[in-house]
Amino acid sequence: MRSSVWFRLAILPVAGMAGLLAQEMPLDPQSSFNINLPSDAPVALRSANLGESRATARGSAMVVDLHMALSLQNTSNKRIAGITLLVTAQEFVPGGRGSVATPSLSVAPGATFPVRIDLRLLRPAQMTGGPLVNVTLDGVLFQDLSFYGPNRLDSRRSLTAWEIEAQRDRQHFKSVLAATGAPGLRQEVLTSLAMQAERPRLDVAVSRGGRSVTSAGQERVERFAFLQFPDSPVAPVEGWAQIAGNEARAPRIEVRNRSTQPVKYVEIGWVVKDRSGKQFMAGSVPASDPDLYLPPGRTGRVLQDTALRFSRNGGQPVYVQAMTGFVSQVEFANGTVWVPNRRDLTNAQLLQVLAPSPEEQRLTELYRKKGLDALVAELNRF
Amino acid sequence: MTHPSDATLALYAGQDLGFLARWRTERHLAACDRCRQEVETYSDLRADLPELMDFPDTGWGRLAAEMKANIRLGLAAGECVGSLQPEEPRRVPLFSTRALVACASIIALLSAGVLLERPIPQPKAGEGITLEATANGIQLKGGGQSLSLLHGGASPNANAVTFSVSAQGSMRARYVDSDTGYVTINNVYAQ
Repeated sequence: MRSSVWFRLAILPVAGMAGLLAQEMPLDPQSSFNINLPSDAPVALRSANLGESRATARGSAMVVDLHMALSLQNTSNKRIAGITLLVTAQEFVPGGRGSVATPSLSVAPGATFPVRIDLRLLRPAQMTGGPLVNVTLDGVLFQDLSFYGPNRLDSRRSLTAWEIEAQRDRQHFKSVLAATGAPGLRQEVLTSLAMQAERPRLDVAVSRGGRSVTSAGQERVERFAFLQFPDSPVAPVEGWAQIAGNEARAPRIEVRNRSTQPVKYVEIGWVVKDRSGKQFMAGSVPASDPDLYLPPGRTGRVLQDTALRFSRNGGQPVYVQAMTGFVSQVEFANGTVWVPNRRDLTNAQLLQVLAPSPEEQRLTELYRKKGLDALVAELNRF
Repeated sequence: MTHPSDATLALYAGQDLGFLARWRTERHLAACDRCRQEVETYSDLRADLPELMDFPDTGWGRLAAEMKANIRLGLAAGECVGSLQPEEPRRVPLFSTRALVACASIIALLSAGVLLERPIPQPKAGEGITLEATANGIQLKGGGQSLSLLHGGASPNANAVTFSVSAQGSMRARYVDSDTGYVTINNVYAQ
C-alpha cells in the first residue's frame, strides 16, 4: 500500500519532466541571428533563409539548430576569389567561435553567390536577450590577391594560401591537359580521386593547455624527422613533442629563415606513423606568436601548448611510433605566401598522406558529378 | 572537504536519513573525526532528551489551561453567532483534485526554480574545452555547452569531408557543397 503511494507520487515529477523535454519550437529570424556587414564591405546581403531551423528544449538545456542560406552580392569592381565569415554564439564558452570560408571562387562584380552556415548550439535554456548567433565579415580576397576585412581570424593568410594552391593545382591539371589531352587529364583526375579515397584517415581530438585525457603508457619525448623541400624559404632544424600512448602534446620545432626576406608566419605539417608503419596526417603546427618576425638567416621556434589525441575506426587508439614534419606554409612580412609545389610533394610521397587542396577537391568533384567536358570548361575559365 | 550540514548530522544521529543520504554521510564520517564527534554529541543529546521533556508542571500546565479556555470561549462565541453542527473530520484522499493541483503546482515551481536558478559553469578560456570531429560536423564543448559547425551540404559519400587539425587549437572540415559546387571550409576555434 505504502509503496503504491510512493509509486504514484513518483509518476508526477516524471510526467512533468517529460513535458519539459518535448518542447520544440521554430526559430524567430529576428532573435535568432544577426548578420553585420560593414557599410563599405565589397559584399552585400541579398537574402537570408532560415529553412528548417528550430530550437528544442532538453531538460534545462536548449538545442538550437540553425541552417542559414545566405545570398551575397559582389558590390566591388573586382573579382572575388574567397570570403570568410566569422560566426560567434552569444555568451558561449569563452574563446569558442567558428568561421565559414568559401575559397576557390571567381565571382564577377555585381554577381551573387551563396554561402551556407549550418550550426548547432547546446546552451542553458535560461539565456535570453540578443540574437543567438552573430555573423560578421572577417575578410574578402580578390583575384588580384588584394584583401578587405578586419582579418581577426588571419583570413587574409588562409584565403591567400588557398588561392595560391588553387592556382598551382589548376596549372597542374592544365599542363596535364596540354601534354596528354583529355585521356591524360581523365587518368590524372582518377588517380587523384583514388588517392582521396585511400588516404588513411585519423580522428584527432584537440584540447588546449596540457593533456586532454588519461593516456595509457608513460610520457616520452619524441623527436621529429624532417622532410626538406629544396625551394622552401624556411628550413626545419629540430623539433620534438611529448608522446604518451595515443596522445601527443606541446610540439616545439626550431626553424631557420633561409630566404632573403623576413618571415612573419610558419606552419609545419605534422605526419605521425603508428606501430604498423602506417602514416597519417596528424595536423599542422602553426607559429603561436602573432608578432613573429624572423629576419633572413635567423632561427625561431614554432610551439603550441596543445594536446592531440589520435584514434581511428570509431575510437580505436593510434599509438604514435614516429613523427615527421615539413614546412607547409610560410608568410613573408610583405604579405606574400609560399606553399610547397606539387613536384616536392610528389617526391616526398606526401600526396598519399596529405588531403588535396580545396581546388583539387572541387575540380575532381566536378569531374565526378558532371564529367570531363565540364572539368575542361572549368579549367578554361581561368 | 565539504562537511554535511548540522541538520544532516542530527538526522543521521536519529537514524532519520534516507538511504542515499545515510550512505553518503557514513562515507564522510569514516574519514572525518570532527563530524563523527558531532554525531556522538547529537546521540548523547537524544539520550538525554526524555529527561528534558519533563518540564515543570507549573508553567506549562498554566499555559495549557489558558489555551483550553480560549478555545472553549471561541467555540461558545461561535454558538452564539449561529448553530454549529459538529462535523466528523473529513478524510481527504491523497489523490483528490486539490491534492493533485497542489502537487502539480509544487513540481512546476520546483522545475521552474531548477531551470531558472541552476548556476551556469563558465570555464576560463581554453580550459577544459575539447574540439573534435563528429559524424556531422566539428564540435566544441565545455562547461555544459557546445557549438557545432555542421557540414549539412556535403554529399553522403564517406570521403566527402576532409578534416584537418591545427595544434593552435582549431579544426577544419572541408567539403564541396553538393548543391552549389563551391568548396566550404568550416573552422572552429578553441582558443
